[in-house]
Amino acid sequence: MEYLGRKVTPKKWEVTEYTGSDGVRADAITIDLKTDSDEVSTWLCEATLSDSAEGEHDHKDVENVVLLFAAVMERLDKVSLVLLPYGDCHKAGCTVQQTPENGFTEIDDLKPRHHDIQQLDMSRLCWLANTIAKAVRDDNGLLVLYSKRQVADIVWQAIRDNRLSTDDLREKMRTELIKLKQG
Amino acid sequence: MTTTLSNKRSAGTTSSVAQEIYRGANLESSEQEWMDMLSGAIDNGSAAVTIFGNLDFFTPGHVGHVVIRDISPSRLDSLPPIELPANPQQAQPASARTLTFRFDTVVEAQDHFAEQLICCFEEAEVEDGVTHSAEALIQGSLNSMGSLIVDGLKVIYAKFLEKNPPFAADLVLCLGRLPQELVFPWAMDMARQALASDRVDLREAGVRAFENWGGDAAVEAIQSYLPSESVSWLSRYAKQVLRDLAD
Repeated sequence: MEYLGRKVTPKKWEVTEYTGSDGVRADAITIDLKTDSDEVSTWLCEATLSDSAEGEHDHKDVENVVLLFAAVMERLDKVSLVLLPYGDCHKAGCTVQQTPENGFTEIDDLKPRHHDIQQLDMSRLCWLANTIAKAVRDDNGLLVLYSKRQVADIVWQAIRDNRLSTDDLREKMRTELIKLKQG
Repeated sequence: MTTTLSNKRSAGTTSSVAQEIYRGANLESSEQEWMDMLSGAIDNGSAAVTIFGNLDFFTPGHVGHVVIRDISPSRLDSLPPIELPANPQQAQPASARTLTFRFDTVVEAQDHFAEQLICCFEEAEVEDGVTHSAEALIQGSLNSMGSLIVDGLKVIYAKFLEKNPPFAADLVLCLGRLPQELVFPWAMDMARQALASDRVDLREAGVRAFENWGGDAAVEAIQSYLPSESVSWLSRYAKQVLRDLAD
């Protein structure tokens, strides 16, 4: 199944004493769902989610989205993504457009994965926010977390596969990666 | 032509301590020479000193920061003002003719550090993959003032926990990004406190600090906290960190 991956900060999507049990913090929307020209940037990927809570999800292709974000980081760190079901976005009235020209990455084969969710208004933005909040709070397989070590493994593999060069990485990221992988 | 060493307590004036320092140095002296002279001069006044500076300590416009232990603010205030003649041998640009010193008591220095730290956190929160300005501030201050800053950080952290928990979480995240040799063992205690918090942002900060530091103590801390973690995604993340650390 196809999903649109978006980087998020899970802790921002948790309830607080002032949001109530189903509310969403303003910071979550204004920071993690920051729009530009009424658009939100996402990256297409495939995943297979298990029906059972205990089951294993197949997130192998999601690693490509992790790589996209990791490749532009200043330093080696974790990556948290929420997966928005592509079909559900359409059902909710969102316009999704493939926009490789807006996908700023050094990894050429991933550029076509860039999609913008366009023409967002209040109700569609609320739908997105509620979908992300549910993914975080229910931990239903739509929130994927990659630890620092896992991110290092993904970037290192991309370098070995010649999809990315260490020269493409920021200096601190490069240093930390080499230290972790060779240290 | 005159060169003024000014004490921040009274613009355009300086203390007798600074006069003594100035006599032994010129603007081309190295940072270490200045440090030695500052220590010597203030030791003569029966006060121990801790000096804060860095490699551009005496570049024009830079503020030298002298922390004097065991001295009261009133005594610092009572030091007499003085204007010093410039060394005629030195051709200095006009901007280099003024050196500004901050003379602080320990408490003042800690307060000043706390103010700077709060400014950093107010300016931006700590983001994944992005270096935060507080990291350089903490690292630089620990390198130059050591235990004085450690004590200050403990006080600041306790205040953050009580009054501004998101800043406490950001502080733990920043400490987690600093080298172990600089922040151990006291930062581990802060991270353990974070793990015991009822706030998810603090617990996550604790997990990530231990993730960065690694080692047996990190494994032990995460293992003992994990059974109490009620937030599913954080529990899942902490388990992954344990797997990573076991490799």
